[in-house]
Amino acid sequence: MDETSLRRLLDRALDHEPPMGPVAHQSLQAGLRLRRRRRAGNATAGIAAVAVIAAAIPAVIGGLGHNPAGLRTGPRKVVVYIGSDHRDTVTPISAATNIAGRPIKAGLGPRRLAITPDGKTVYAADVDWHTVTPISTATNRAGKPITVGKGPCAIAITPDGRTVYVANVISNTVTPISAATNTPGQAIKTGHRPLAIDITPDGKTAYVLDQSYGMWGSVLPITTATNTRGKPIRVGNGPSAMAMTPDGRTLYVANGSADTVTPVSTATNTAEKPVKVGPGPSAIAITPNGKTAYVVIQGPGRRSSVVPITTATNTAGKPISVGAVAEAIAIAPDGTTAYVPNSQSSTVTPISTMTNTAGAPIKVGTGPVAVAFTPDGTTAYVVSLGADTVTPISTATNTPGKPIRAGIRPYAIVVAYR
Amino acid sequence: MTSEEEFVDFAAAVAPRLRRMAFLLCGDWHAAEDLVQTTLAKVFVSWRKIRRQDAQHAYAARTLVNTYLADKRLKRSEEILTSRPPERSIQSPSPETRIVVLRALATLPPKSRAVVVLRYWADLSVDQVAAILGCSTGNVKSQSARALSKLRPVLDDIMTESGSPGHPPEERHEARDI
Repeated sequence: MDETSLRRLLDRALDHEPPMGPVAHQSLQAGLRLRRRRRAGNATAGIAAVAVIAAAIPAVIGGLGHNPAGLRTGPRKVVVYIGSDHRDTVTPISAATNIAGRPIKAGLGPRRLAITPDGKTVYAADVDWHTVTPISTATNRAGKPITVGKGPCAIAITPDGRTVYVANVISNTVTPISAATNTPGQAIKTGHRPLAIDITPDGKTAYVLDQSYGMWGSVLPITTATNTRGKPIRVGNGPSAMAMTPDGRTLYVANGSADTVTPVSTATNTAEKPVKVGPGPSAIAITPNGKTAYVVIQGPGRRSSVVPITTATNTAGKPISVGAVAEAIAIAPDGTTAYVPNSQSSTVTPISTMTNTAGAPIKVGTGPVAVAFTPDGTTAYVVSLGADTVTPISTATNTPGKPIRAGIRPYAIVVAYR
Repeated sequence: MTSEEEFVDFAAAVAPRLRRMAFLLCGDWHAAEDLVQTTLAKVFVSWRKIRRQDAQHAYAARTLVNTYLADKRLKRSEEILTSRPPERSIQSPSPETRIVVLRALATLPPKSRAVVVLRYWADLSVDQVAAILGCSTGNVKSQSARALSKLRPVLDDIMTESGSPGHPPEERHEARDI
C-alpha cells in the first residue's frame, strides 16, 4: 500500500458527503459568543454573572407544583437531560444506570430546558441567541431550531402540551410555539426584560414577569386562547423569580431589590401586600400541597438562607441557614424535603419541610447551580457547573453517588419519564 | 470589508475541506460539522492576530486537530475501544469501501489517526504535521509507521479485492475474515 493509494482510500471514505449547513455564519456567531465569554472572565465570575438569571431556573426546571412528575405513577424510563452553558449539547443521563449517553447537538448553547407534560419533547433554549430546539426523548435527536425572539431565557408549556411559550429577554417579547408543528406564532410584546413565565394549571393564562415600571417589576397576564395581553400587575423592585401555587390561585414573585415577596391573586389579577423576607430573594419554590413557599435569600453574612412563607396567612417564618450563595431550590415530589444547592460551598442543603430545619450539607461537585428530582422522588440530580458533573443523591439517606460527567459547563436540568 | 466579513468569507472557503478532514478524524458527519464550527469559532477569536501573520489556514487545521484531540481526551472513558481489527459478516455482501476504511481508521488511537489524516490525506510534510501536533518529527514518523502497519492488512485486502481503490468493490460471493 503506497501513499497514493492510501490517499485514494481515504478519499473514498468521504463518499456520500452530505450537504453542509450555514457553517460560516454559525461559526461567526459562535466566535462572537466565545469572545464575549472569554472577555467576561473565569468560571467563578461566570457563576456570579448568571446568579440573577439562575433564579428563574426553578420555574423552568420542574420541581414545582404542577410539574407533571406528580401526575404519573410507575414510569417505565427516566432520563435526565442536562443543558450546557458552554457547548451546543444536551447530555442525556439514564436514571437507571446513571450513565451519560451521547451528547445531543441542540442549538448553540442550551441553557434553559423544559419538557412537555407527555414527556415526549424537551425544548432547549439558546439564551445567547434566538432559537429554541426541540429534542425527541424517544430518539434523543434534535429537530430543527425554531426561531424565537432574542435572548430566550424562560420556557413554559401549557398543561395540554399544545403551546410552548418562550420569554425573550432581549427582544422584550413572548413567542408562542405550536408544539404540533414546532412553528413560532406572532410574538407578544411584553414589558422590559421578561425573565420568567408561568402558566395556570387550567392553561388559560400565562404570566410573564418583567420590569415594566423601570426597576419595578410587573406581572403581565396573557390570555392563551387569543394570545392577548392583559393589564400589567405592578410588583416590587428588581423582580428575580416567581412560582405559582399548584391550584393556580396565587403567584409568588420574589423582588430581589426590595427584599420582599409579592403574592399576586390570579383570580383578580391584583397584587397583595408584600411579605418581607430578607436580602436579595432570588429563587422560590412551593410545596406540592401549596401550603408553604420557600424563598432563597442572601444573608445573613456570607451564607444564604431559606425563608418559609405560610401561604394561608402570607407570613414569613424564621430563616433557615444554608451554605454560601444558594442559587436555586427544588422540592421533592412528595413535598417532604427541599434541596438547596450552595454554589460557593459546593454542597446541597436538605431542608425538612415538616420541621423547617436544615440537615447536614451533602458534598457535591464544584459550583452546584440546579437540582431536579426523579418522579418517584428517590433520587435528586445536582448539576455542578464548575466540575462538569451531575451528582445523584439518594434522598432516603441524603448520600451522594458517584458524580457523572455531563459535558462542558452543565447548567440546566429536566427529568423526562415515559 | 470588516474583519467579520473577511472571516465569514474565509470560513465559507475553508469549511468544506475542514469538514472532510474532521470527518476522517471522527467518522461522523454531524460531529464533523460541529467540530468545524467549534474550530472556526476559535479561529475567529484570534482572527486579527492570525490575519496579520497570514497564517489562517495552518491555524485552522491546527485548531481543528487540537479540538478533536481534546474532545477525545475528555470522552475517552465513555468510549469502548477495541484493539481487534473490524470483523466482517459472512452473510452480508462486502460492505462499501467507505465503511471498511472508516472502520480501519476507528481502530487507530486519536493521535495516530490525526497523523494519518494530516500526512496522507492533507498531504502535509512530516515537519508540518509535527508543528500542528506539537510533537517531534521522530514521533510523527513512528506514529505513521505504527498506524500504517495496523491499517495495511485491512486496506490491502480491499485494494486487491476491488482491483483499484477508485471503484467500489463488486459484490463478493466468497467472504472471508480479514
